[in-house]
Amino acid sequence: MRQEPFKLSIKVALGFLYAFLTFFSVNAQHCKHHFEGEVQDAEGSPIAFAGLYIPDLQIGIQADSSGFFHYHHICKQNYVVLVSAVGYKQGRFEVRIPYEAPLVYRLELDSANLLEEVEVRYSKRFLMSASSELLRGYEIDKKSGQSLAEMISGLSGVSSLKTGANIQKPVIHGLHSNRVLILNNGIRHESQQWGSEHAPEIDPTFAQKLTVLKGAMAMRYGSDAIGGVVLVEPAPMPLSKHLSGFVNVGAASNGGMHTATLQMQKHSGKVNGLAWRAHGSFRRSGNLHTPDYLLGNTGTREYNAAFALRKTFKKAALDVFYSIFSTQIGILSAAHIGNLTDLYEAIQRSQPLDTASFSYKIHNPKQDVQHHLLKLRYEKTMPVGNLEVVYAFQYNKRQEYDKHKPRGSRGNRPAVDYDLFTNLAEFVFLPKLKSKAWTVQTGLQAWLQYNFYTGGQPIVPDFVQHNSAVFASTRYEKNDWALELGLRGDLRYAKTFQSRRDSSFSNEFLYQNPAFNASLTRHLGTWGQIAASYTSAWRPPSMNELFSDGVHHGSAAYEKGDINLKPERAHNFSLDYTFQGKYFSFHSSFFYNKITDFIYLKPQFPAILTIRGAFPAFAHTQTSVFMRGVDAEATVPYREWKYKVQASYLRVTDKNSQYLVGIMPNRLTHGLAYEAEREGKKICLVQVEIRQTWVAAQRDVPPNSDYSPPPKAFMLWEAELGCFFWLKNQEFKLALSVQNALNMRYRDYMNRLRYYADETGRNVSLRLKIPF
Amino acid sequence: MFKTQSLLPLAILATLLTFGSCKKDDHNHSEGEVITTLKLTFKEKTTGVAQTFSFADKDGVGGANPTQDAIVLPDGANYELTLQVLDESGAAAKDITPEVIAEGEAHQFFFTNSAVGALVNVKYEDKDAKGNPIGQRNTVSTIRAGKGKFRVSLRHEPNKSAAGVKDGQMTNAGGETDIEADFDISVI
Repeated sequence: MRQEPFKLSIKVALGFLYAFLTFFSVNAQHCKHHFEGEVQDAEGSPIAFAGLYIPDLQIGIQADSSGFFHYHHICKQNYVVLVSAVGYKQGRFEVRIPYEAPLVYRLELDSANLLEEVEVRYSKRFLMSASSELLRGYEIDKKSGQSLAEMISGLSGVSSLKTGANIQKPVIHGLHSNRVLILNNGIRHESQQWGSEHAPEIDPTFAQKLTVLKGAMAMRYGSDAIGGVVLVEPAPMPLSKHLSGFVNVGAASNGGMHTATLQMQKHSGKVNGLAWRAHGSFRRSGNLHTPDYLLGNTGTREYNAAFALRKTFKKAALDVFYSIFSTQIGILSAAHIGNLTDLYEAIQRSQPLDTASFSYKIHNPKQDVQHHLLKLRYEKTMPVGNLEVVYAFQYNKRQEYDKHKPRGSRGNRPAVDYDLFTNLAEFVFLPKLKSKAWTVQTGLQAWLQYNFYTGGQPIVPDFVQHNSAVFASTRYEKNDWALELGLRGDLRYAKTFQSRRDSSFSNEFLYQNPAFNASLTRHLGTWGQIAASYTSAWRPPSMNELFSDGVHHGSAAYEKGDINLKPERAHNFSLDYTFQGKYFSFHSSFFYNKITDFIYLKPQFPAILTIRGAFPAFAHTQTSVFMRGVDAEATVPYREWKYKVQASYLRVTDKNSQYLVGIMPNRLTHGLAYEAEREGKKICLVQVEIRQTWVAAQRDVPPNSDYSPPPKAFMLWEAELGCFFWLKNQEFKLALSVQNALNMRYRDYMNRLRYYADETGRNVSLRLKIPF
Repeated sequence: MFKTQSLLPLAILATLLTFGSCKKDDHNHSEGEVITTLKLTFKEKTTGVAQTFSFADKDGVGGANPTQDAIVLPDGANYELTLQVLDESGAAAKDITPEVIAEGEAHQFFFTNSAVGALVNVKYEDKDAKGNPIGQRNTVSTIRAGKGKFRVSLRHEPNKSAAGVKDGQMTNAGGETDIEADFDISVI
């Protein structure tokens, strides 16, 4: 009988461990951390007496007869752990000490049988040189109740574009919307992306890890994301046959926000079994307040549910995932205006006229949005390599209600109502190569999209859009060097269907272009690494850039599309340097991004005259822009203390050395954290952190391009207190935080509602997570 | 090398793609009612002679420029000014005025700019359910010869109880502008 390629998986239950951020090593003899786990084979049976070895510490231990192992007295650091057992291939995994507890960490050792971790592992391996930022585990739990963009907006180089406090979109290195791709559970998130007031329809409480890849490095995910990619990844499916999960509840003072999340999961416990996970979350908030007044109609309500199934077969696995996101968001009524006169009047006022009393009720204007995602994923391990087949269906429904219900209609009907259907199919093949130095990933991707609208004047017409792509990436490693190359070709066809009164007509578009990236990384041993990369990527014009022809409420501007726009192309150079020392660590990322035929809104003269008065006119136009900047972060640990400083600088000009509007201001954040640690279950782990953020005034703006000058610089304080405690063997994680602690009055340049009202004031929130 | 088993997902995929791509043939949309036209009718109170001036943008925002009449009124006369709001975007014009009156509490017309108070005086002559003016029916008296601008605004959801709003001052009215049209006016 032919010997099966051995499947070995280790299941590391990192118990009793304290987590937050990576500290770099202190004196080894006095470290108090430990971690424990279990080594299993793919069938879930323990592997007795497996050997484990941490090369950095030169400490080897042996698992017991049940496969359990325990590392004592190790320090806070990232470790590589090698696992070996007679009859199995040697495996390795990375562990970050201290780690979140209790976390089931699983890794399959034989690459031929990588079922669970294929995507995670390969995306890691392929993007080692990319500038990326990460938020995981407890860092996400501590922010539950916040939107996806809000959670990641503190990361270096990442900010958010806001329309009030409730609608936020991620901005990476100054680029956003169609230029930032969000991968929800591995699937391109497809929604009505064209508006700044369209937040991503994703529930971040389902995620275990949020990664931001800065720049268009990820050939697999699409070349149109010239700003970057946000990866929203759930935890791997459970392996335990015991029911596990968590409850997370939270409340906040500002807006009377309350939130609840429940997650349950289980594995059948059999060989080639079935694992499932069910998740539900709820969030409700009423009118928010600034330091001085309440903001009328700023409540939100959100309901989310997700269900995941995973069935493993002998050399294959099938995943089924479904999620629904449903939200209702009130828009600040004062920001809904009819014309430029209204806007100037609003700017003149120090606060909105109709400051309301507190209420959870949501009136017009509001948004009602739903997003469904169905994903099927099949993986197969073959002697020639691994094949992954993915199909996903997404249905996005967006209804926007104006303050004024449509004339001539009865009842409350939306002013615009969009339905977007997206079908996506993907085949990815990872050939098994003889040479260990090479890794190759190749695939085909296709998606088909339909957009329908009902209601008044559309910003985007009905359309059908089709995109096919082929991509290949390779990574070559030798000694301390790694070279990555990626290539992708896209073909996009779109057809629109417009009707104006009695006539109807169509336009057709065809775009085809290649994208390319190359990067070279040099590992500097334990000291860090240095990486240089170049990416050339492109993005076809979006439907609103081609077809806009109207005035959007809130913006008080007439926007005109141009059907002759060409695709834009980005040439992105970046240099990343990471230094990891004992008493100091540092990370910096320099980038230079040249975008030719960059599509933006250019002011037009004269203003356009309508029956609602005159409006400034803007046309979607193209020019070359140059974006350069640096993100830097330094950490100084000292015993239980850690001081961290982070800065982002960005400067954007066009080919005539003119500035562009809406570019994120420069930012500096620094903070001091203290972690008091105790061994054992009894005493609470206390984590205290105080942070100060300074956001500069945006001075790099073109003259006469805005209705009022950019807001002044501001400084915010925030503080966090974390505590893990046990009651009768049940663990509780408590987090108390305060944002805008000094109740500062300020306005943010990145908020489209800055003309109308101040930002929200102090917010004290309390969250409790109970894992079971 | 592919076995039948690995073809199954392909078959599922193909089926789903086919179903997912069912096409809607109807791409016709009614644009709903839009205000395209404002008509001002000045009826001389003693003679009963009526003159109509309008501001019209029949193709909506963008496209052709709006058309605009210049108002010419003899000096020293009193007029009954009635306003009409129309949707002329379709083949048949629709009168939206009854809707504005029906939702009177949520609407108010204002008359501003250089001519008001200098060349003409305007007085509200109608009331909504709460006894506040709507401004669809008014009295206009010409007080002096000259040229100026006469602006007609329609505010949606103004705060009618704010200071001066009942008397036609727009400063504290707030709300959202539905109409704002500037007419050239000559009092001769």
